[in-house]
Order: sequence, then C-alpha cells, then structure tokens
Amino acid sequence: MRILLADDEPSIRFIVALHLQRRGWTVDEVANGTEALDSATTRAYDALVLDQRMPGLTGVEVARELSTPVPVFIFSAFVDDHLDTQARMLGCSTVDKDDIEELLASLEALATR
Amino acid sequence: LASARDELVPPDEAARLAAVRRYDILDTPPDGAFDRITALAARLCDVPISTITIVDEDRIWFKSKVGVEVDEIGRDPGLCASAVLGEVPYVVTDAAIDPRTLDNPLVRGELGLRFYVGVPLRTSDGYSLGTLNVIDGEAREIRQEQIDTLSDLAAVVMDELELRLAARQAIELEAVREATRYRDAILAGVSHEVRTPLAVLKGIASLEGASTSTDERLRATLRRQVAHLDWLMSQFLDFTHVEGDRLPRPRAEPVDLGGIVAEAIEITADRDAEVTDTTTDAGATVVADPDRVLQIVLELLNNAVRFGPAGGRIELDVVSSDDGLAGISVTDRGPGIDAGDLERIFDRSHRDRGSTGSGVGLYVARALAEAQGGRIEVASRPGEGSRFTVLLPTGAGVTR
Repeated sequence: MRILLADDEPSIRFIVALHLQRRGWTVDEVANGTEALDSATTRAYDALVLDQRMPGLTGVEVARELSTPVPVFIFSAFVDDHLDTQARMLGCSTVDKDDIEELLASLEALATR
Repeated sequence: LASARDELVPPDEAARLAAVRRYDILDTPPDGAFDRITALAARLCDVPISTITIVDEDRIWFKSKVGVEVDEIGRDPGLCASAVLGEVPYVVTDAAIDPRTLDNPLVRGELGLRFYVGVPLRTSDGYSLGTLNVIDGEAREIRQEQIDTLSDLAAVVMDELELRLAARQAIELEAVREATRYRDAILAGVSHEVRTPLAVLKGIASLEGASTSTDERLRATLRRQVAHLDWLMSQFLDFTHVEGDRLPRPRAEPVDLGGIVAEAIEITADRDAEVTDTTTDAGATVVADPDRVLQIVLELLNNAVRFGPAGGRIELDVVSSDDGLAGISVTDRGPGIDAGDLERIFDRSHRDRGSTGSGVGLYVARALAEAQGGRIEVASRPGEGSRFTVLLPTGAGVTR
C-alpha cells in the first residue's frame, strides 16, 4: 500500500511515517496542503492521511479538490462536530492525532479489503 | 449590669457591620444626591441640623450633614446608635426631660441637643446602617406627616445606596466574567499547544519493538518533545506567577550564550524551520539564570517559527548593546510587525502574536528578562521580518 502523509509538523510526520513503514507500507511525506494536492494528483495512492491545519490548503480543502476517488483520513488534533461533518460530506474520515492506533486500524481494514 | 455601650449594640451587630461594609459607603466624599436630601429634611422640619449617618463599629460617620461641622462623632453618646436599634423612627421631642436621653452628654453638654428624630436606614435584608435625622437645640413638636415624609426620604437614601451597590456589583461581576474569559482562552491555548508533542509522545509509546536506546532519531525526538512540553508548562506556570506577582527569584550565574543558542537550536530541530547559528562572538557570557535565558530564547524562536514561512530561515546570533548588556537575537523572515503594534505584542492581553498558543508568551518572556535586570527589544520591517533580542547584564564592573 502506498500512502501520502501530509503534515507541517516534522515530528508528527516522523512518528506516523515510522508506524506506517513498520506495517510494510510505502509512505510519501509532504509538509503542506499545496504539495499534498500536487502529489495526490500526479500519482495514485491507496490512502491519503492529511493534517487539517496546514499552510497552503487545509486537509479538507485538499480533499475537496481531488478528482479521483481515494480513501482520505483527515488527521487533526482538534476533531470536532464541525470538522466531522465537513469531512463526512466529502466522504472522508476524521482521526484524532493522538490516536495513531485508530489510524492504523482503519488503514489495516483498508489493506485487507 | 450592662454598660451603656452594650445597651447601644444591636444583638446582630456583626452581621449589621458586615452590611455596612457591603455598601462601601464609609469615608466616601460628599455627594450631591444625599446633600439634597438632608437639606430637604432640615427645611421640612424647620430645624438647623440634619444628617445622614452611618453607624460604624465605634463611631457615627456623617455621609451628609447640614448645620454640623464635624465628619463623625463617637458611637457611645450618639443618638443614632440608639435609633439603629429599632425599626421605626426614634423621636425625642425634648431630650432634657426624656428619660432615654436626659443624661446624654450631647444633651447635657455644650451642644444642648433637645430635639432629635432619626429614621433608621434599613437595608432590604433588615439591617439598619444608620439614620436620616433632624436635630434642634430647642424642644419642638413634630407632626406625623413630617415623620412619614422623613421616612420616605430615608427610603430614598436607601434606594440610592442599593442602586450604587447594584451598579458596583454589576461592574465587579463583569470584571470576574472578563477574567474568566481570559483564563479560558489561555487554558484553551495551552491545551491546544500541548496536543502535538503529546501526540508524538503517544506515537512513540505505541511503537512496538522500538527502542529509544538504540534508535538515535527516536531518542532525539523524544528528548525534544519532552523539552518542548517542559517549556510550555514553564511558560504557563510563569504566567500565573507573573500574574500573582510571585515570580521565583531567578538565579544569577555566568551563562554561556553560545551554549544557549546551541541548546535552543537542538530543541527546535524538529520544527518546520531552518534555524541557523550565526554566532561569531563565541564565549560571550551574561550573569543570569540559564534555565530562564533558554526559556526566553525558546519563546522568541517559537514565535519566529510560528509566524515565519514554512521551512523559513531563522538566525540566532550573540549580540551586545551600547549600554553594556549582551544577549541573543532571533531574526525571522516572517511577515513583520507594524510599528504601531511593536509595543502591544508584549501586552498581557495581546493574543494574535502570542507564541505559546496561550498568547502570553512574549508577556512572560519580557517579565522573565526584566526580573533578571534585562530587557527584550524588537525591530521589524513589515514584509521583511522581525528581530527579537533578549539583552541581559554581563556582570562586568560588578564586584561580587
């Protein structure tokens, strides 16, 4: 599985990528919304993990611009009803940033589908 | 045998005095509204003296007075002290023959008080604060409708006092609400700010089979995130200390500025910025508290990272000032700050540029610098960037 990971916090990228790579998945890392959209439109991913609050475009904004359907996880330290609704309207899931386990479980489910 | 004093003290005196304090009226300056009432009362009864009194623990204080020079008298002989014992007007038409008053020094003495009518000023919860009274040196009669009108005037005095109390309470309540809002915003900011390091730490904790003793990058990440959390908590704690004016006394020892620069860069190595050490003056020292100096520099650096462009260059340099201080400057390529805002960003209430997320980072940093005999300077050009400099005493010329 190839996963795009977008987050402007290098420490978050490092630790999340480490978890994903340990599952045997390939991870491409980007640091902002604009790069995330570029990468997501130039190559095919099995899943996108997008930080909500990034410079350039937010996670939800990136998801909105996507032309091809791909599972998107909006990764945020501040998941609330508003973000949840926004994400769901675009067919995305939200995952709390301090719950990497939940992200991994969702991606596992995707990988074994 | 009860003393004269005991007889003049109501049984609920402590609660009555608390009520007096609540209205916060004692020793306040003269006031037109009350002065009009005493003038009216004196005219109504055709007497030379009328006062509005507040009966304090051991004195009778005049809030308003017509025909009296002094501001207060002792409580013991005062007829108002007797008047506040009751709920109804206290009427003495000829004090010289009235058994309640004939021995009173105000009656027997120089003043020769003969006529006294005092209407208690009753609070809504039933305490008498003092009286509205009319006084004459000659015995006289008073008609019931005059007493009724005096009672109405006393009620107006109380209405006025209640109104002022309500207004003051409304202002105090608003101040409390404002303080609560302020604190809530800071707490929300702090809890916001700790999420990223906490998420990273949880991520490390849940890494199965990883060891921070063998994986250097993991170990460095762990160390930096803990240092970051530690710094956030220090800033928040110090904020409460600065607010309470009980900032712990900083240590004063030689601090190697180059070492602080290196440590600050190491702690922020994971952040989304290119932090560069441009120090040429290796070996410069100040006399300060090393933990506090690092805390201030981290604040300035954190500020630069947050407001600078992603991955932007930030320079740390060791500098000295014309007035003999030395320190560390942090230069960013951020959006800069308008000249009009340069002072405001250090304000306790300034929020947009506060870097700890609590919004009080620069306010705390400045307090820390000043507590060590130093200061923080800022220079900025909108569109080009900002330079924050912390300057501290070098101890040169100081005999120890």
